[in-house]
Amino acid sequence: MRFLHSADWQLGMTRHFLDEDAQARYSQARIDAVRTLARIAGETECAFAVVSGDVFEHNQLDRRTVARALDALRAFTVPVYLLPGNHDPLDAASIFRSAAFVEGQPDGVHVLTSRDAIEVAPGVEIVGVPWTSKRPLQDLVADTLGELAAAPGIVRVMVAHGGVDVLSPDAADPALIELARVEAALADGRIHYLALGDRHSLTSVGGSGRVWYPGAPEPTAFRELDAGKALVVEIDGERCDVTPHTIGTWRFVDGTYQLDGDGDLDGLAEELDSMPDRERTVLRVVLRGTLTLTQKARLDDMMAQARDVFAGVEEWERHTDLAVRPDDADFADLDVAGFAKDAVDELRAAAAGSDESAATARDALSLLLRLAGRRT
Amino acid sequence: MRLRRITLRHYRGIEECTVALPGRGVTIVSGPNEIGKTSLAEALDLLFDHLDSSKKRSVLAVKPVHLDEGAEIEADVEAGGYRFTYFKRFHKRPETRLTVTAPTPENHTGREAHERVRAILAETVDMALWRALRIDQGTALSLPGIGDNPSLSKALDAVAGAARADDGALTLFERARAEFERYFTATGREKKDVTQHAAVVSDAERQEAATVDALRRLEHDVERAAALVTETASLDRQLAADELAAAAAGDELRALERRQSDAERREAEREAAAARVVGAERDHEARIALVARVADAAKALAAATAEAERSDPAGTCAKAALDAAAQVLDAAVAADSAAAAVLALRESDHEFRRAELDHAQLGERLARVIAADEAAASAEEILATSRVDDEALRALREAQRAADAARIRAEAGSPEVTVLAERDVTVQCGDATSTVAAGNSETQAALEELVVEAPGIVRVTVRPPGDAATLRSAMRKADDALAALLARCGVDDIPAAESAHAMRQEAERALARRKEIVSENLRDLTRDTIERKVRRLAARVASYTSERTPVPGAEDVPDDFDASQEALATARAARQTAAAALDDARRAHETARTDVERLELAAAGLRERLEAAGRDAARAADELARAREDVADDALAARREELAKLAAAADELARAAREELAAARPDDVRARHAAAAAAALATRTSLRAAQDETLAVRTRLQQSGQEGLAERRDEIQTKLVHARRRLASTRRRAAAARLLFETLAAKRDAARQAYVKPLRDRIVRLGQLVFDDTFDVELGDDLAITQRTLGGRTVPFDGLSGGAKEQLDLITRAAAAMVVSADEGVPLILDDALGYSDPSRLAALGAVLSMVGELCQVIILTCMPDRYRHVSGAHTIRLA
Repeated sequence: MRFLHSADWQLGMTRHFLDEDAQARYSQARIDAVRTLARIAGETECAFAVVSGDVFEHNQLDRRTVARALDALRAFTVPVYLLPGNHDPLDAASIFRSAAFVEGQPDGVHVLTSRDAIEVAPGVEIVGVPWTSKRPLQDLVADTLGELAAAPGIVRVMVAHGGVDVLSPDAADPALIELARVEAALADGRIHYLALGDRHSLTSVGGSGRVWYPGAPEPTAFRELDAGKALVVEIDGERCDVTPHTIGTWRFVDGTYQLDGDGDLDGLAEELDSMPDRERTVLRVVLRGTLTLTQKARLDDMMAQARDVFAGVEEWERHTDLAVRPDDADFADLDVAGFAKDAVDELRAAAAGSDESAATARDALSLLLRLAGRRT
Repeated sequence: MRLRRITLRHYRGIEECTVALPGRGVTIVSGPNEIGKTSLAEALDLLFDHLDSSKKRSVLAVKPVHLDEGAEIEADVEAGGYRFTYFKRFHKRPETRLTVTAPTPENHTGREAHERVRAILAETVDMALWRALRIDQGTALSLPGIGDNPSLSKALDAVAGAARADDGALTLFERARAEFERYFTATGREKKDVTQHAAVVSDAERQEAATVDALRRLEHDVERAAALVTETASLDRQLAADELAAAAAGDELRALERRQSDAERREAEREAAAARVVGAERDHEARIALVARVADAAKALAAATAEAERSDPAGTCAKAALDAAAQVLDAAVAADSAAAAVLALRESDHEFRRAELDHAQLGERLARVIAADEAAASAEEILATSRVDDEALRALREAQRAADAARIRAEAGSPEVTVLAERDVTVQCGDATSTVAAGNSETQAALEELVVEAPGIVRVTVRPPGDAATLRSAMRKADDALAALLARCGVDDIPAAESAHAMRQEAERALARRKEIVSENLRDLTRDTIERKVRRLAARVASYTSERTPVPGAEDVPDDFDASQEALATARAARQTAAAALDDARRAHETARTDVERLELAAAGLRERLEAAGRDAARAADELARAREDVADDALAARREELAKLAAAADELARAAREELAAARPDDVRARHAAAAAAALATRTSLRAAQDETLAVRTRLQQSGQEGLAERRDEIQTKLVHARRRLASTRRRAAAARLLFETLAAKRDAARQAYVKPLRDRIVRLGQLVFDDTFDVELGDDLAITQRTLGGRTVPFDGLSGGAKEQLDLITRAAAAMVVSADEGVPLILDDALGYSDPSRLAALGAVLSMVGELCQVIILTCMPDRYRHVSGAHTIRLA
């Protein structure tokens, strides 16, 4: 028996480092990812698909976003079971009870609104552990496991959402899933697979090989390790095979560059040029080093060009440490005399500092170079 | 720097041209147009500024037209201690050659030569300023002068700035200003380019705050909805428990209520028994009271009767006093009216006597008026008939005197005839016949022929002499005149006239007197009014005595006015006395009457009381009799005893019931019941509130939960991030533009100041040489002269004459040429192509040029050297 395990679609998510156009393409890519999942479920002959929470980024989404999500879900030829997670909990304002969702819900799409076991195929049960609020005060999985008894001859898949104690540094969170209890339940046959959601990176938890985070189908952040995947799980009695499939088409890339001269700038230019799929790549750069005014102007031009090509280019200000030092070479070709030269000298003196007024003086010098360079 | 020689070869249309120049003073280079004078200045620029390989347009422009050769320029120059010859060939086979002869010989070629010349010049000349000045070189001295021609100041800015002024492009400064003005207004405020980004940011911030707030409310509703589920369940349980407790308390309360109604019934019975006892006692007491009342009424009747008897005599006495007072009053009334009648009559009497008096007086006045009027009437008649007024009388007397005189003169000139009668004789003498007694004589003058005849006896004719005739004639004329006057006055002779005149005067006096009399007697009245008054008074007086009715005490009319006045005073006194007496009588009568009324009222009261006492006594006796007939006094007492026994029994029963009720503690039972009911009610209310809130929260969530708030917030936050970034970057660019522009502006101002002062000092020094020590000028920011002071008088540049402007222009340019090189200046090259037509102006300019020429080398290019004959000591070079 095979089924598709995905999670963390986060539909309706906005990324502030994307401009309007890139955001539209990114949103579309994430809808496309849903269709890709449907296709893979069909191709791999899955019996059903589960989405372990955070289908939606929020409970409060635009009707059109919900409508587009449901439209993409229609691509599934197998039943799909959606679990309310921490982003879209089954609370009084749940998106799964909104008019937009209820009215457009396709026949094969189900929401796991209770912890009751559901028979999804002969001999196969799903037990959902839906979130009913954003901040549960207990380990919902442990609670649910406590209500279950072993059912011989039945394959039972638990669908849940949240952090697992062995992975999470925040031990104080009462909602953390205690892995020991899960593994105990796997051992005594109360469940056979725990389909988790929450981590956006593909992760196998513990040593059982039956507790998995599939990660987000499209990457959503720079820190994600292995995003853009979904799992096809084949489970039969003692056997459990998990196969990751690549879904995502976007990349979030971090890069740190040491820039101390034109050579380094050449290297950076080369690297930017050689990156693949730039229109679907969001770049976050950390720039370090010391440049002259002219070099800085060149860097600015390069970054401006990169912004035109890449889906997004973000300078990680917090880690950026780039000094601009005007030097004689900047002014070598500058044919100024008299008061203009006095002005240049004064601005250069002012630019030597490291405070904001020095930065303004450097900007003024750059502007001067630009204005002087406009001569015929 | 001084230019000693310049040679042009293959230069535009010039084959070859050499001009050797003296090192000092004014040199006038003359020649016809097109010969290339103006090329000299241009060639100097090309030689110093451009490499021989230059392909600049200004260089290409001087390529010879008909020859395939390169243009050559060669100059001998002195600068500081240097002397050198500098040669350049452009276009074809370009070449540069420098031969320095002093202070030490040097030879250079090509680029090296070019750089060496630049170095020498840089050492001796302010190259930048010279370049600026050369832009002005060779141009015409022209109206309106440097003040309106910004080329020098522009050139100086160009020197100081990055761009060449002749590029025609914006200088760096102007570009920086343009950049500044993209972001700021002239006053340094941010422009729309910047503020619109700020507006977008604050707009997005507002939107974000609103959305975040809406989301927070929504989150709160979500949490509240969850809490309400728990609350509602707990309230449901609570309500069930509360209702159970309330039912138990209700049962207890109903038992209590039964016990209470029992107690209330016993109490009512007790009260009824007690009431009956009270009734019996009341009956008994009423009977005792009735007996006492009968006795009291009898007593009261007796007392009233006694009092009525006592009050009778006083009433009688008072009535008698009233009758006496009435009589006195009547008498006083009669006396008073008699006195009043006397008084009235006396007043009429007095009035009558006064009328009498008035009548007499007014009658006299009227008579006088009438007499005066009559006298006036006859006087007016006289005046109307008599013609002898003062004038007429005087004329008459005059005529009389004239006639008498004429007669005397006539008689004196006439013979006198005397007839002496010897006997009585009748003599006719002239027309008169008389008898003259004997012894008598009669004499008559013979004024004319006189016949004296004693009829029958004698007839004597006497004829007067001739001149007597004249006198006679005069006499007759005077007589005629007199007669005529008399006739006119209507009198016979003078005495008659005098009498008539006297009558006339008397008449005039009478008229005058009449006015006086009339005004004196009429005073403010008219004659008619007086006449009417007199008639009225007369009538009254006439009838009074007959119509008068005498009264006792006033039988007769008093004799005269005084007597009537006295009688009137007496009557008035009598009347006052009578009136006082009447008042006294009235008061006494009133007092008596009041006494009687008071006593009568008291008597009536007594009578009523007496009657009432009689009635009371009768009624009380009757009532008692009837009551006894109904129930005897003994029976009443027996019934009272019996009822008291029954009441004591009911009292006992009621007390027992009350104690039983108190033992059940009714307050506690009621309190328990109320508390249970209140608790149930409170729980029900809370439950309903929770249900209502649930409904409200769910309704709200249904509405706002589907507005896509979170997605919108994310979008707005993204928009805000982008807007903030745009604003920050715009502000950063704006700050850079501001700093650059402000730095440049400050440096430019400082640079200008560095040129302004030396230039001005030079201009003043030159001007003082040309004019006098009082010369002074002010320069504006653009180095233009803004005003000139001379002889203590300051005139704005624009207000100066054309000639003065030219002189200042020349002085300014000479000053600039000298500022360029501290010791010897640079050549000042002038082109007068436009020429000057005003000879006096040329003379003045000539003086200035002479003066300037002593300080620096001046080269004037002209086709009419004659214009400069006023320049003393000028060296003239003629180009062929």
